[in-house]
Amino acid sequence: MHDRVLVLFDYVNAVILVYFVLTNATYTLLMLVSLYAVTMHSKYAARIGNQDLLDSPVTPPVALIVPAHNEEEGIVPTVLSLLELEYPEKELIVVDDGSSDGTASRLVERFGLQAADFIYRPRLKARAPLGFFYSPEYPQLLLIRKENGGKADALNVGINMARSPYFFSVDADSIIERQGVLRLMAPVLQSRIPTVVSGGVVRIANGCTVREGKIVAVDLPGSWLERCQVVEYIRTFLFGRPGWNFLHATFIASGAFCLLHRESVIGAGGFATDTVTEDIDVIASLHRSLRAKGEPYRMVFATDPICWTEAPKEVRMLARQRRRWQLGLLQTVMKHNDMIFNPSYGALGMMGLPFHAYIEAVGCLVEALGTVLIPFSFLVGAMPLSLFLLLMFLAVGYGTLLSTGSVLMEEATIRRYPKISHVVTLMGYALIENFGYRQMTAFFRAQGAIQYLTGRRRWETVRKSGMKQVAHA
Amino acid sequence: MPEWAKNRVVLGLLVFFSAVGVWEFRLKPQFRPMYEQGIVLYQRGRYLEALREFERAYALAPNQVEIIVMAGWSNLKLRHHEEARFYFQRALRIEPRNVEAQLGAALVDWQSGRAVDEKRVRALESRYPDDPAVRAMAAAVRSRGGRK
Repeated sequence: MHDRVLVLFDYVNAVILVYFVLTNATYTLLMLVSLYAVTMHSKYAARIGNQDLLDSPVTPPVALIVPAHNEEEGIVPTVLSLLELEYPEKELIVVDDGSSDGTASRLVERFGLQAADFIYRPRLKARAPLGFFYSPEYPQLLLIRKENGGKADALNVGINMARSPYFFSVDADSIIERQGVLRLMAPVLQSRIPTVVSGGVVRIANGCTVREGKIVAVDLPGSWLERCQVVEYIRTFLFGRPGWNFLHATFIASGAFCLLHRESVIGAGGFATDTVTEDIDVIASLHRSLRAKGEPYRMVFATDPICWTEAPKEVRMLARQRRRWQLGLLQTVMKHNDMIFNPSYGALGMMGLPFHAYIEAVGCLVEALGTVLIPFSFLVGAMPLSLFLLLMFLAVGYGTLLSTGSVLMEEATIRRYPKISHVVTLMGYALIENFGYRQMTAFFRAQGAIQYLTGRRRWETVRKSGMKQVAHA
Repeated sequence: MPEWAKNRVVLGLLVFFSAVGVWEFRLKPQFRPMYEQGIVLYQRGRYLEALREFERAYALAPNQVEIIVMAGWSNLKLRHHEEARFYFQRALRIEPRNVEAQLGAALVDWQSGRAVDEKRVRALESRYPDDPAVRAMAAAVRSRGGRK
C-alpha cells in the first residue's frame, strides 16, 4: 500500500512537471512572438495619423452596442463618453435587457428620448424588443427595451438593429479612450484581406480619476489585490493575445473592447446563449463559419487602442469573476472541441485551441493540485530538494520573469502609466504576484472547472463599486 | 460510442496521461539494475562503488526507501556520517517505521559521537529481540550509556 502511494506520488509529480514544462515552453514562444508583434505594431501605429482616418471617406460606420442590465448608476456617463468618441460616423444602441431599476428612465430623462416605431428584422434569434426610443437631439442614439435574456441575447438584438458594417460591444462599466475605436479600425482599413475582428488592450481603471466618462488622470489602485490584477492584465494583453494573433491563432478577444464585422457575425449565428462567455464563443464560431465557407479573413489585435475597465476590489468578487471566466472557457472549448488538432483550422486548430483547452482550461486543475502537492510532497519527504526547487522555479519563478518582462515591455511600448513610481511599483508587484495571488486565482479557476464538471453552470454576478469620479471643473 | 469518447479534449487528456504513464513506468531509465549492482558491490565490500550505484539509482527513484537506506549504509561504511544521517533521516520521513532506517540512524548517531535516541533503540530491541544487528546496537549503546 505504502509503495503504491509513493508510485502514485511519483506519477502525479511527473504529470505536474510535464505540465509546467509544456506551459512554460509555450509561454516562452509566445513571449518571443509577442515581443516582435508588439514592437512592430508600435512602429506601425506611430505612422498612422488619426486625423487621416477621421477625414477618410472610406472609414466605415460603426455601431456601438451597449447591453445594459440594472446599470442606472453608470449608464448616463457611459453613453456620454461614447457619444464623445472621435469617430466619423457611429450609431449608439443601448439595449436595456429587462432592467428592474431606472436604467431606461435615466436615459429617457437625460437625452430626451421619445418612443418610436422602428422596423425590426430578427436576423439573429433573440427575444423580441418591447419598444424603441430615439433622441431628436442625439440622432445617433437609440434605446431598445426588451425582456431579460442575458448579455448575448441583448447583443443579438443590438446587431439586428444595427445598420453599420462593423459593431462594437461595450460594457456599461468600461471607458474607451477617445480615439480607441478609430485606432481599432486602422488595421481593418489597412488590410487587403477582410478583417472580421479587431481587438484592443483592456486596462484596469481602478485608481484612475474619471470625469464625465473620461479618464482624466491615470494612477495605480491602492490595494494589493487590484495592483496584482493590473500586472496580470498587462501580462495577458502584451504576452498572450498579440502572440496568438501573430500566429493567426486568435481564440480570445475581450468582449469589453472588440470590433466585429456584423455580417460575418450574423453568418456565424451571432452570440450564443449556451456559454457564459459569449465573447470567446463568437470568435470560435467565426472561425468555424468562415472556414466552412472558404472565405479569406483576418483577425487583428492592436496594442495601442485602450479600454479601461473596473476590476473587482474584493477577493469574493474576484473569485466569482474567475470562476465564470473559467466555466465559460471550458464550455467554449468543449463546444468547439472538434476544432482541436484539426488541420483545417490551421494554427488555431493545431496550436491556439489545444493551448487554451489543455493549458488554460483544464490546466488550472493541475496548477491548483501542484500548488498543494509540491510543498506537501517535499515536506513529507516524498520529493527530493532538487525536484522541489525545479518545480518551484517552473511554477513560480518563471511566472515572475514573465510578469516583470511584460511590465518592462509595457513601459517600452504603450507607456500608459506616466510616473516612474508607477513602473517601480508595478515591477514590485510583478515580483510578488506569483507568491500568493497567482495561486489564489488558480484555485478560483479550478473551482470554475469543478463547477463545469459537476454541472453547476450558472452566471455569477460580479458586483463592482464604481470608479473614482470627479465633478466637472 | 459514448459522446465523451469522441470529445477531443477528453481524448487529448487520455493521451497525455497515458504518455506520462508510459514514460514513468516503461521508458524512463529504471533504478532496479543499478540497485542490484550496488547490493553486489556492497556485499563484496566495495562500498565506494556501491555508493555510486545507489546514488545513480536514487537520482531515478528518489522515493524508494530501499535505495535510500542502502545509500545510508554505504556512507556509514565509508564514515561519511553527515551523508549517512541525511539518507537515514530521509528514509524515516518517508517510512517512519522502517527498521533498517531506524537502526542506521541510531548507529550513525552512535558512531559520530552524538546522543543516541535510547528510547528508539529500546523499542527496536523489544520489537526485534532476535535481530543480531539490533542486539549488537543495543549492547553498544548500553555499554556507552548512549553518550560519548
